[in-house]
Amino acid sequence: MMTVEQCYKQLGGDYADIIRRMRTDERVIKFLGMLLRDDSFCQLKTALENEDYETAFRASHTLKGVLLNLSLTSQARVISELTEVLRARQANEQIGPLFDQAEMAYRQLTAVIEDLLGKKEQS
Amino acid sequence: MKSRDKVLIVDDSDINRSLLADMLAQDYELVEASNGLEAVTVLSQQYNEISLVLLDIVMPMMDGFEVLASMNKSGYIDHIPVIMISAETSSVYIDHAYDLGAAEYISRPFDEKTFKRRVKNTIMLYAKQKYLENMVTEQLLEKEKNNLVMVEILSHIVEFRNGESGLHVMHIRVITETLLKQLCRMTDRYNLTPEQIAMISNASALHDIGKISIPESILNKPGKLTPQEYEIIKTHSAIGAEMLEKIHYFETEKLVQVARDICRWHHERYDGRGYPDGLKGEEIPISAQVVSLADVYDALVSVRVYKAAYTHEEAMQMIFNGECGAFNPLLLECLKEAGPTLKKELKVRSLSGASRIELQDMARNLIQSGNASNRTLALLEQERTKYQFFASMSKEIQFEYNYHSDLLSISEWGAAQLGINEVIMHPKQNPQILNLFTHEHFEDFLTKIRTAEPENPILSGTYPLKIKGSSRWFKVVARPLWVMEESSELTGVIGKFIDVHDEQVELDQLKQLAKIDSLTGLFNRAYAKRALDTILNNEADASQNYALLVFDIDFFKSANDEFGHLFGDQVLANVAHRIQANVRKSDISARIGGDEFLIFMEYKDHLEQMIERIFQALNGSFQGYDITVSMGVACFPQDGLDYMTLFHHADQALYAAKRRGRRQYCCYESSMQDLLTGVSAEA
Repeated sequence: MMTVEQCYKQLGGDYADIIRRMRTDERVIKFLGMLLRDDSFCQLKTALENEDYETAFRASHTLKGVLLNLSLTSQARVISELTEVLRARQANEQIGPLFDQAEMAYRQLTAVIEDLLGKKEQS
Repeated sequence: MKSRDKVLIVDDSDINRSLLADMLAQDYELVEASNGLEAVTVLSQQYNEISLVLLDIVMPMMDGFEVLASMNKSGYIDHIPVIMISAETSSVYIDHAYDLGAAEYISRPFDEKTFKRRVKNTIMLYAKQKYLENMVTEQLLEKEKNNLVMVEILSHIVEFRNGESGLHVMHIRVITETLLKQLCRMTDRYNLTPEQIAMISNASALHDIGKISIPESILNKPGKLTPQEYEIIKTHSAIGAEMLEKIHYFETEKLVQVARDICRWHHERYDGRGYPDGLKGEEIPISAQVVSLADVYDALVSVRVYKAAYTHEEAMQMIFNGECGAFNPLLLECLKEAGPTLKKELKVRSLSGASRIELQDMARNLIQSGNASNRTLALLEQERTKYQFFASMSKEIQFEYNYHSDLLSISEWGAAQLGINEVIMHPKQNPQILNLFTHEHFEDFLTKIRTAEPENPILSGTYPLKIKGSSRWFKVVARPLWVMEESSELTGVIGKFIDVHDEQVELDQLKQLAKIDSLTGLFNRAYAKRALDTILNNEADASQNYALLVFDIDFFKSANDEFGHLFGDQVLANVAHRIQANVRKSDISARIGGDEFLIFMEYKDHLEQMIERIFQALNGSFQGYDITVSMGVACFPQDGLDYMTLFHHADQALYAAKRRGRRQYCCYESSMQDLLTGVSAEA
């Protein structure tokens, strides 16, 4: 069984910071569980497929805020870069590679959290 | 009473909201909104209860900056602190937020302790500021003025419902004040101080608040009331008094006590034959005596649903003849003395005085400009609750629109009736509203609102509204609200929709009846002339062709003479039937006199063929009687451009047809000009 601290370590997150702010592992786990149900990433992906850059920026921005709130610093950094590129709300050659990077980071993130929560089903 | 402060959390992310909620739930009451639009709606409904807003910037529908802008417009920003919470760290965003009046800016991620401290500090700072403001304003605003606002709002509610012209409350106050001043000059029996006079005059506006409990069907009934209905009306004085007794301020506020006396006893009579208590003479408080007389006088000189207005002189005579009740002789003396003043005062004061709703605006402005004390706010909030309560019970479609927030709210019952939401943002672009009206009617309604003026603020119109798939007629009565004394600045519109579908349908039927010849079901002469005038004067242009056919039944008189008038009528009906079977719906056919008929139709070409066909169809046999007709035809535009000329020429052609031996038709030619005519051509 993985601990929250190990989970953060594996994800490159800042455990010290999150535990200082949230105090208990239970609360962190609760919010990590909510993150699995959050559809910002889905929105981001769909919006990009539809070339709807306004929604893409918003979804990416929201996701960035959520990740920062959870001290998931390394994923937040990746999403943050994507957010900055999307801020212009128009097509850009950097979007593709950055999104791929973000998708990879996000998949790893959800996989590790599912592992932590003992969930096996794929979202 | 120690209540928890209410905090509004606005963020589109569930996680972010619950994170904040987790931190604050222990110490605060929380409301959540998932986008800016929801936030603005919550604010407009609960602005008085919310102590702090936590606002995200990037959100769908309406972003945080737009929420701030809206709060600036509505003035909420001065009273409700806003803490921005965002993952944005660029100084452009932060500056912009502060420029728009945000109190704090917190970047994610944030520390719980710091965050909670800043929330607490911000709320305390604003509370302290509010407290200081209150101390100042409590001194500035004398109590009388607060009360005045309350009184006006309350009486406004009653009068709005009574459907009275809007001036009654104003008049009562003026008359009461004038009579009391006069009374002071004539006697010191009642020990009236100027303060008491002011208080009684202010309280007088409340004399009829009990009427709020009387069904509108009785209250606004145009005809005579049945004894049972009258008994119901009579309960309003006791009910009004009870309402006031139950008010929290009854114990402490002299004004409410005075108002209560007026409510209960303004229908008592000096001879003891009034209601509800049958008090006699000086048992009736002088305040109620004066208001009673003022009420009677104003009822006489004003228009009511059941009567026209009497002149000042007529009213005086009726009162002094004892036709309108028994009064204190001394008061009648006052009325006589004050008569000329009253006559003048009513004219002047009605125009320049602030109307009830303007005072309501004043109340609103007080809140916005920060001059209102907590007490005033609490009172206003109470009134709002009351108003909403009555509105929800009244089974009326009431609405209120606010220009600043571009927000339309509709009473709960009304919204359910119309099948639309109770609160609608940007109603002019809202599909629910746009579906309700036809475009044309909606524009007409908006124009009426735009062109209404403070001198004559009440507007009305009758429109068919599309409700849940079917169309019903509604009458709308509304009035715009202006900022006090500055008529140019509109702040809102209030009004109500009344279902008049059944009345309208009946009216349409009556209108229809007035157009129809009862024997044949065709149009009558008067309507045919109007309809032709309309077409020829407005719609027809030279590229269109119309034919006017005028004909009568040959030897119709003999049918009447030989077989009786009943049979004659059947012949006429039979001809009408033949006409209807052979013309189009767009054609106009009418019986214009005894056995004379008219058909007016548009044609493209083949005129001869068309006339031939109709002519043949009209001739025939009815119960063994041979019907033949003679017909004259005149055409637009070649034979005439207006009804008179066309009719005259068709008539001349008809005469020619008769001269040629009847049972035929003739088209007008200029050579017929000199023929004398058989059918009278005056139209």
